[in-house]
Amino acid sequence: MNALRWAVLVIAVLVMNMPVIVTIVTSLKPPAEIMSNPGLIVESPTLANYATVVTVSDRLNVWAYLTNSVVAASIGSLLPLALCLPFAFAAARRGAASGAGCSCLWW
Amino acid sequence: MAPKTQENRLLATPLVLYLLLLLGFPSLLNVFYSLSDVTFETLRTPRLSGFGNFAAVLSDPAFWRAVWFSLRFGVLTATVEVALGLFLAVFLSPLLQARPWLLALLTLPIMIAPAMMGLMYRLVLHEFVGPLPYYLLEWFGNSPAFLSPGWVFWTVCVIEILQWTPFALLLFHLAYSSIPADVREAARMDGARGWRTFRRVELPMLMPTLALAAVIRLIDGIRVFDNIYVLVGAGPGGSTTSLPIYIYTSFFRGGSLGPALAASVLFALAAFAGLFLALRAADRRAGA
Repeated sequence: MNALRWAVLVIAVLVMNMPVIVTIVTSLKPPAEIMSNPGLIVESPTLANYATVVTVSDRLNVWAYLTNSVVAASIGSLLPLALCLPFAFAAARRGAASGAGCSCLWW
Repeated sequence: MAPKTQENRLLATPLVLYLLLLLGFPSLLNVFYSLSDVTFETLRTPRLSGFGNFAAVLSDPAFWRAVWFSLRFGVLTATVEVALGLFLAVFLSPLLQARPWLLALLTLPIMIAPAMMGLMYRLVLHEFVGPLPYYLLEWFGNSPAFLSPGWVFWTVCVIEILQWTPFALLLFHLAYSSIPADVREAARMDGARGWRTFRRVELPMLMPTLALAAVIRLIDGIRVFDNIYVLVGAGPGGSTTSLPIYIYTSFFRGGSLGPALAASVLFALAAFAGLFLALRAADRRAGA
């Protein structure tokens, strides 16, 4: 039974993450090979693509994009906390009688 | 009682103000524009014109095709995601209990932005350089054209399901592992085993989580936009135009702001009605 569970797990992980796996594999191919070899076996693996990405140029600055994402994600997680924590506290103290639908009515 | 209400009001104020400002104002503006003659040039001087925009939308066959697509897509994907997530969560629970890190592998797709998922599938499904058609051709001598009119609906459904089944799985895993051990023990003492424990004891306890996951996934499915838009745009012959894609394309491409916003108002009203019914049903269940 556990062998069957492992089999299901492995298949589920591989199928659901297929795009991730394909992306990682493709990222290791040189540009010419991406066009000529669609398979998952890389013939001449290279890290050149990664070098290109982390090198800052005037067309591509991955660190700036990363900063943008971090700033946006921080605001996106701190602001709801600051706004919702007091509300949730109040809603919870009102007791179970106020469901999600009517908790705004007593404002 | 009075000071407590006062206190509650104070605690709720920031959120309510924020929502009024950033959700309420745009929504009202949206409703106003939907009742007006308006173009990008006359955004500041719209002319109220009644329900013409709504009539235009309701008589547009493309609108109804988009509604039909969104409903079909939402119901189908939500159903399969919940069923598959439940199966995986329960069937794999012995493995996941012993090795919680396995959950990270299973829930990795949730971390990926849907737009990026669409982009990745463009690579996976690409007819010349995509691995999936390549291997299907290699092994079976034939590969379906995944993005052709006959296939594209099923392709986008499978993509959505593969990305969001892990979400349902995660919820169900948490709910399943928080069922107290003494409940299972009591079921054992009463002679319930295997399937019967699941059907009669565990499943009813998972029901609230199941309903929650289904509602969240249904809403998310009906308003699907980015993964489909990145993968195939509006699709061959508009075949993958979901309601949000319809609104977006008629707003920006068609430049018909009024009808687009009228469609979005109708969408919001339908969503409110659905949510209201769902909450009332939940209330009634809780009351019974």
